[in-house]
Amino acid sequence: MSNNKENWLLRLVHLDHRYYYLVLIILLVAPIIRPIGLPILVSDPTRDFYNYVNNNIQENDKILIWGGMSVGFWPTEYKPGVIAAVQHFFDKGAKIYWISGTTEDPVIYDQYVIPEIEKGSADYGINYVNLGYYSGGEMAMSAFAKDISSVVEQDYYGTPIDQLPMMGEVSDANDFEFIIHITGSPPEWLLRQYNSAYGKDCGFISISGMMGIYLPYYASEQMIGFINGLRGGAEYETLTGNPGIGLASTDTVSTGHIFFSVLILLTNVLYFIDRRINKQ
Amino acid sequence: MSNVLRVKLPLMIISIILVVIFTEYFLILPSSISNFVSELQQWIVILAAFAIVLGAFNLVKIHLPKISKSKEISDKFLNAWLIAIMTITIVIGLIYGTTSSQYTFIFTNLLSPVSTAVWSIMAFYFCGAVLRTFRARNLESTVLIISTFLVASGNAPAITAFIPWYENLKTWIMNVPNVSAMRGMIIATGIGVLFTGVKMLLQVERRSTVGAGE
Repeated sequence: MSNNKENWLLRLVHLDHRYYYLVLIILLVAPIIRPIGLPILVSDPTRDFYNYVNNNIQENDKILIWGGMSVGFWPTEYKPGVIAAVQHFFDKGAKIYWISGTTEDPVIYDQYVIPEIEKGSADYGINYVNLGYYSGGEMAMSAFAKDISSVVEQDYYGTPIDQLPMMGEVSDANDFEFIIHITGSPPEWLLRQYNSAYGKDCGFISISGMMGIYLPYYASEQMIGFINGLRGGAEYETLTGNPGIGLASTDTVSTGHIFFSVLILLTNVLYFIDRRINKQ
Repeated sequence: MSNVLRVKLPLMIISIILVVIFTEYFLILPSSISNFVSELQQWIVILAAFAIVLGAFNLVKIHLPKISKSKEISDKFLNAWLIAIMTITIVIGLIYGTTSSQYTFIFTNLLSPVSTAVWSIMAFYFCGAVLRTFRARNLESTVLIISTFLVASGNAPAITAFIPWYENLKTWIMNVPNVSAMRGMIIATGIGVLFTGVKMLLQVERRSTVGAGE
């Protein structure tokens, strides 16, 4: 190896990390400014979630959503999947009961989800409801599953539940056709309290880092399917035929992941070259 | 306080509640017992709500003294800033309600962008981690790096769309080695929790009442 090449490689090995950060910023921002339109394949968990909703959910079926979102993950992880799935539920004419397990979640539903949905003729209190935040985690889920009125007395806006027509149609977990948990946590709580205890069909909308933890439960068919982060949202948009923020951001997912993959390769190649040079 | 009140009575209550909740989950019991379990679960919901208040007090207890004790002016400012923002949010929430325009203004214009920015920084942390530590120094780290490379590149929609077999490779890694390892961890954790429950039932597990050192 010539001295010039060695010098060049050594400089690359010891390059200030801020240059790599700059490349990352460019690769993440550029596709947003000028989308490339890179294609996307639909994964099995997303396809199964979509097929279940498409084939099994009928008009006026009741869907219970346990929201566990934090606002920091909203735009980059939850938004595409949640908007696409909730829109699908509305399009199917299902009734949506939304209850929150994190303090931020009811505000996200109120401020970011509902305004983005094409609701058609759906009305608040008749077709969809925001029941607000309830602390207690799994115990709150369990108490709600046993007896809704023992946990919920009013909705997020302070309206007593006996004034909301759709709340008169449910008393416990048995009244729901499909239960969904939107969360960045493992799926055990919902599966224990609704799938194991009541035999209810469960689905999840999660952040992309949780895929490895969700797969064992998906493989054992304890969950119908799950929408995994931004990519899952983009896949769901593809399936529903309504391109949105997920598909628009797919290029960023591609460029970001390719950058990290190349970086892993590059740093290891440089590590071995550096080691060889030092030995010499 | 006598040993009975301090140790034995709490352990007895824990054992009884454990048996009741455990059996109620698996068996159909008389409605009086089911109602008792429902009541207990509502207590937990209320207790958890109190924990949030406790957390707020704890935050004030830790950060308020730091305003005067910190030597750095930036530390003083950040501690004061934390207390001020928390107080403003709580006061607005209590006076106007959490559905008010004032509260949602704080949520959408302060909390939302700041939280998003904090999580977005993770991309740079990951980049930094790759640059500093991701090296194939031994067999274990080599396996980790190869699987990270395959899964990370397989998560790029563009790669799997142009090279379809790559998606199968990534799916195999996630569905076979990953699921096997995760199942092992889940089952081991489940058995661990089960044995902790049995220890609590038999009153062998006493740390909740007598502390870890005794």
